[in-house]
Amino acid sequence: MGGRKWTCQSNRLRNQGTGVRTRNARKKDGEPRLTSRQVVLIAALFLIFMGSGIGYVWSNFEGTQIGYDLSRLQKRERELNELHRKLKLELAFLTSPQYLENTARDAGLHPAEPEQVILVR
Amino acid sequence: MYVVGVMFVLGLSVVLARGYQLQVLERDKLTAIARAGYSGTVQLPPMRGTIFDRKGNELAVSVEVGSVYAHPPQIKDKARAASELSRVLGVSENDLQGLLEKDARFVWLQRKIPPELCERVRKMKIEGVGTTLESKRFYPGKEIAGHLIGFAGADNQGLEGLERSYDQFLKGPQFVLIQMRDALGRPFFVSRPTPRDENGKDRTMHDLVLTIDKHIQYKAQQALEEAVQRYRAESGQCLVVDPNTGEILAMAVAPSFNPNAFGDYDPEQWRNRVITDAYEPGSTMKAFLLAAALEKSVVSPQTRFYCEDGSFQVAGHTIHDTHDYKDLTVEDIVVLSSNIGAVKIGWKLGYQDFTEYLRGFGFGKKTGIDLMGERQGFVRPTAEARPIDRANVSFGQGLTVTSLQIAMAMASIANGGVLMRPYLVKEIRESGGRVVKKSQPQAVRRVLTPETAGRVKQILSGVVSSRGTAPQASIAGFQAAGKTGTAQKVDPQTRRYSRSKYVALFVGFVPVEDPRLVCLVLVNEPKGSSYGGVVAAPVFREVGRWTLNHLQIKPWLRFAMASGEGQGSEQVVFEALKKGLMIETPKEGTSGEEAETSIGEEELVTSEPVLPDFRGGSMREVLKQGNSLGLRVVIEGTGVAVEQVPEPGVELSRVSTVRVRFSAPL
Repeated sequence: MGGRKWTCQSNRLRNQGTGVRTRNARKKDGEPRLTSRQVVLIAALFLIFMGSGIGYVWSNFEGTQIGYDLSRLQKRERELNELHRKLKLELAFLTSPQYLENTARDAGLHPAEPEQVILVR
Repeated sequence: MYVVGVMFVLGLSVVLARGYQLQVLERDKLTAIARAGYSGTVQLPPMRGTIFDRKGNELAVSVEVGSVYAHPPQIKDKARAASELSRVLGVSENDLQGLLEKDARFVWLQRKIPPELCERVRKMKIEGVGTTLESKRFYPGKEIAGHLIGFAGADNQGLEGLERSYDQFLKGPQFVLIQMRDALGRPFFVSRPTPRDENGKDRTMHDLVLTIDKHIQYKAQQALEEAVQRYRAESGQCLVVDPNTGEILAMAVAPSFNPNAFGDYDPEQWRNRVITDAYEPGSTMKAFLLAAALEKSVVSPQTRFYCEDGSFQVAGHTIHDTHDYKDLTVEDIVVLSSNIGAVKIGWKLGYQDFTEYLRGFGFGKKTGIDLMGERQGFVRPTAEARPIDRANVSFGQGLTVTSLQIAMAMASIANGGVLMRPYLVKEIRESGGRVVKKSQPQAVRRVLTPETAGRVKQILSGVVSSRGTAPQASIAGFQAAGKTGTAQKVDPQTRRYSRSKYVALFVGFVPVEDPRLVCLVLVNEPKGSSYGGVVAAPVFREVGRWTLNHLQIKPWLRFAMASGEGQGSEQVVFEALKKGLMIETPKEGTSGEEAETSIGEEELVTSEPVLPDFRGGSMREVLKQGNSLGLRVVIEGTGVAVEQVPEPGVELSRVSTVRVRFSAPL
């Protein structure tokens, strides 16, 4: 053995015949290392791990996209609310008594006398 | 191996130590730096709440507009910037350059301009020039209720009128948005607007719903301005009040102003004279003298006084009547407006008692209306009253009142004797619609018994008759009542009553039996004629008639002046009222001879009225005739009336509703 000294512990870890460390020993052909159940389990764990990772990333991404959409829609909401106010203002101007009276006079109309107005209930 | 291991361990330790330093020791500082990079706040312009009339029509609205500002030190080529901006903003290039060359870090170039112009400026991307959003107040009614609503300034603060009185409710908070931005500056998270006031506390904006009716206000304004123009008067006031609740339906002042451009008018014109001007009311006080005297039972309507042939000496002063009256009853003294007769009634009542009643009616103190600047007027205390004061107070001299006080006092007569507090704001609402405050009618005190109020109302209706001082206040189809006033103004130079300057007044209510509105009209310093019955009464008629129609108050009295005037025709009227008969009315201003013969006149004399035959009539004819009879007409179909239920000939007193079926003519 070339003068090397081996400890007892080392000897126990080595194959007495080949001298190779038992942990490095090649496995015999034909012996399966994992059962199918273990394979399924490992695959499932792998999928869960990958899935959760992908899911986490995807949800973050979606959240950000929804955030973009939300802020865009909020801005649109504010713009529409403001437009609504402006349209109501314009309506108020157009239905003001002065404007209606001037428009009616321009169209050749005149105020109805109370006697001409008949109440229908 | 050891060396490798040790190096790995050392390296890892360095990494861990650095990580500890960044994540623990400098955590706050670095977090703030990061947050500043991706988050920020946006401040939205503070708005003001909307002011509505009682029907929900907008009277004052705030909308977003743009403003352009500059940081002059940051602008390199000021001339070029001014030239480019001038083309877009439509402002003189020199003016803009002057602003840009100012020694200031911030200047406004133009405020409150259309957002489209702002967008164009923003796209020009001139360094040192920016745009921002502000809110601007618009008044779509323009001059309508300008004095009442007031206006808000450039910084959204109320300056006059209700805008000022209710500034704390109307003024909206500063809305703050917290947003997070990505590397490209696009916001990907924006919080909901959070309202904050100057102290950082939560606050919301409120809207006001007024008691004012936009259309009645417009009509009052229009009629008043016509009268002021016709008589070349200095100013005018018109006030319409609901006597049962104290709600102000209209408050008009002439000359008016447009609050959208309040800066174009003299500040003197912003004054709401209805509450800020106190004046001597003249003969309108006789209504309250009558009420007090009847309430105290010192006189009856038929008590007679000698009116000295129209001239009477009191404490060295001469009191005149417009005619040389001799004996007049208390009723006639009021209807004919005799000053001498009023003095004698006042003496019978006593100065102290009369002034106590005046204070009971609300004179000499503020009404408590929700507007700033109200005057309280003046009623001289008994101890300070000289003999002439004790005389002339009876016809409205020696005291000062506001138009609002007179209107509310008259309203107390109209509603049966209760003085109501006037108010303008019906509701205060959050901008989301939730009502936070709702005003209710408030009775201040009972001034008269219902019986006395009823007697006073009947006497005041005589003022509006042909023998009174205000026949031009009569409204066809309704019985109105009121009192005129033609008050001399004091000349400030001579400190004596002027012979040429008067205040023409009329204050009245209609219908007498169930008063729905009190209307006061004042025309200040009219030229040509100064009588309240001539100048102010027609405005009352026009506004009253229009308002009654607008409120859909059906005329209940339609009477014909039969040929042969005088007591006989009035007896005919009373008989008609007792029998519930409705007859066609003559046009206003026509005499009995010109009046058309009434429908149903024969039934008045001989038999009970019956339901007429509507068949064959057009819809308009049927409705008109049915309304004049006080019936509710239910219409089916179109065309010509072919069937009615009940049948014609049924006693009218047993019918309240008639169904009429129409069909197209064959």
